[in-house]
Amino acid sequence: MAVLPPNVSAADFDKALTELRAAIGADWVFSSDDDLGPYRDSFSPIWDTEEERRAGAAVAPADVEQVQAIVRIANRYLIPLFPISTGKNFGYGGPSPNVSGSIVVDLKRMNRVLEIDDKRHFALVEPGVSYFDLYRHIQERGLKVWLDVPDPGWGSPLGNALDRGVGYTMGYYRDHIGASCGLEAVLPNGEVMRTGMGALPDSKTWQEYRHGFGPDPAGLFAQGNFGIVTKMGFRLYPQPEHYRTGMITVAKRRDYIALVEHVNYLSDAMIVGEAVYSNPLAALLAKPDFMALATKQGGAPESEMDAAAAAAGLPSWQVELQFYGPEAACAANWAYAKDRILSAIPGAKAVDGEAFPLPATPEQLLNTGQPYKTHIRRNGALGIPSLGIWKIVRDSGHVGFFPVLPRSGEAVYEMQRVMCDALREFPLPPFFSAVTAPLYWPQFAFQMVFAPSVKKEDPDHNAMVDRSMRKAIEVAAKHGWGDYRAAPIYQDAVSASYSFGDHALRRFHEQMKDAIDPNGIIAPGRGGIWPKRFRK
Amino acid sequence: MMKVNPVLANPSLNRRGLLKAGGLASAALGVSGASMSAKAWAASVPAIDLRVIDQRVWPRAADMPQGAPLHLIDGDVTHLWYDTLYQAWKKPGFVVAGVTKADALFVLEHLAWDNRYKVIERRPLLDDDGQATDAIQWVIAPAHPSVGG
Ligand SMILES: Cc1cc2nc3c(=O)[nH]c(=O)nc-3n(C[C@H](O)[C@H](O)[C@H](O)COP(=O)(O)OP(=O)(O)OC[C@H]3O[C@@H](n4cnc5c(N)ncnc54)[C@H](O)[C@@H]3O)c2cc1C
Repeated sequence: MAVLPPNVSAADFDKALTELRAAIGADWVFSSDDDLGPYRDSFSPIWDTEEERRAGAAVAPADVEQVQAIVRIANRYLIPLFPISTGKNFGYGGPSPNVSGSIVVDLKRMNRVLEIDDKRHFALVEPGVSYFDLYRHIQERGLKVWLDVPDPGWGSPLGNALDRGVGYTMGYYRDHIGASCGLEAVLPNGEVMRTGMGALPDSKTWQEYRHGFGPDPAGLFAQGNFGIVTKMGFRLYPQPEHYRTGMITVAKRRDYIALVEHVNYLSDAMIVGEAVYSNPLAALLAKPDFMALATKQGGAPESEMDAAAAAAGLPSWQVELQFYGPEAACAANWAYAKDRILSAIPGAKAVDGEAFPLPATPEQLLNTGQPYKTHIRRNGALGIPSLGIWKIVRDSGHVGFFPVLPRSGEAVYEMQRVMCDALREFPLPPFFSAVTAPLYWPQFAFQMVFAPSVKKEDPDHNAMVDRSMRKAIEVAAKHGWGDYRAAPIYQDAVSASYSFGDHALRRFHEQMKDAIDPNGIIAPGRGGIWPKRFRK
Repeated sequence: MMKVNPVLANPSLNRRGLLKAGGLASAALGVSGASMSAKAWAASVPAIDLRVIDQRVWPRAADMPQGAPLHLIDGDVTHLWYDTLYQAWKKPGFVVAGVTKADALFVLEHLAWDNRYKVIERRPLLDDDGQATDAIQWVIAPAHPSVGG
């Protein structure tokens, strides 16, 4: 049974489908339950319930003209559209829309690499180009550029960037929307617009100077609903010659504060790529005594954590540093990092990791040659798409809450304590404890991860997970930590937490939405932005 | 007792007929005992282009009889996808059968959907006592006119 969008009759929906078939070909309009299976969010905590967000149909256009035709038909029948590129947004809603009954606009068939330049280091791609596609394109042509890839590699530069996804190489490239440069979108009225230098007919620098002239609305399309993006440019990392790793440990819990400051410097000075923090004491969590200490109400006392580290003969913290560039520069940068940190923090130690020329061999990609336990995702660190990350997925998947926090040791300790206490009531693994390490995925901020698993066969568990997610969003916001990205079912809650000036930002977005998309047909609700006819 | 699907014993049925008739997975893979399944694989050769074995659930892959090319995985399907299926699924009519854990099948099924292929059969692999294991035997085949489905 087709799910209908709000206020659209079955007869009108059928008429729209007939027009869509005429516009893009009957083979590319999907409406049976079987055909719509791929457009469900298999990680959904509300799977198979009334609330599950399900597509009413899906269409797969071949080109920009067909996207325009789809938008015009949707306007006629007031049917919401939900554009996806590769639709692999698992943990954040997968391919499923905000509004049930929406027609998913699946852009996978638009999969051309339109331009790639390894002298000026950019690519211009269509939405259906996956990381694997672009990687293959580069490899087959022997081009000297790297992608910064997120996990898993089946996503797309365009889809990932439009949800502000992140990767694992140098800071600038890790922030995928930040490293984008110019886009083309079909607007809600069916017109095609280009941003930045792309607005200049015959521009020669679309992928090199993102701003163009006047306001740059490109950012509106990320976590927004102002159009269907049909092309996007990305800056690419010139393939480095050499790669080197090294690990620094600090003895005392307090030393972490200075360690973070030094690593911030190394990162902002673009000396290191992703710095991977971990806490060696996490290995002790299997012991009930240590688990009780690490999750103690009000936070684990520093002296007790230091005593636990000393008793176990472990350092309090470690960070793995990664260097890219000419061999001599990698060696010099590592020597500098060691000298800088070891001379400033008594008891800090450095261990040399691996060093090798690029591209890496298959053995080096396995990341088994480090002389210490490593947490680096080697494929990602070397810009190579992979599906291997699937091994971390538990049960039927997970939902993700990734609060953004300042890059300071104090902030890490505060978030550990506050979120651990706040989520204590939920029978979940301790995502937040005194050994939770921050993720250094954004260029200039930390994140922590709360990603409880969902179980398709256990609605009670899923309801508990849902409550925990909502509480996490609320408590974090009260402490000034916002989520960076959310599944449709959590987007309203997250958006509501960005409430400065009596929700001035949300009202601004709504005004723009009403002006640009008066019929409210593009992804209503995405980013917490509801068009007038959907607002309560 | 091994239960071989009778359609496979009928040489007059073509590939398409076999797929439409269903029961391919049971013929290709599904028998009452895991050890017998390997023999059933051999019988399915005319209809299957590639066999995938997840060594986490079937370490005895080395005993596999001759037949369609065999791709061994350890859960991670990256190489299977990048080196083989990426090209194979761009062309029409490719049929792949496998025995894997659910996580590997999840990833393959989503990749199949992207390419307008789909899982046409799926059932648990039985152990020698006829009990379901945590392995799944499956067949993925074209599901859209653009790929001969
Ligand atoms: C185990 C695991 C690990 C993960 N690791 C990472 C990671 O390292 N980094 C990371 O960033 N993510 C990660 N993810 C989350 C997710 O899988 C990726 O971000 C993935 O790349 C997103 O899917 P996609 O690229 O197919 O984008 P899509 O699903 O196509 O797009 C995402 C959203 O953007 C919007 N959108 C897409 N295309 C368009 C368009 N053309 N026009 C307008 N709006 C559009 C839609 O709202 C869509 O829902 C992980 C997930 C899992 C399960």
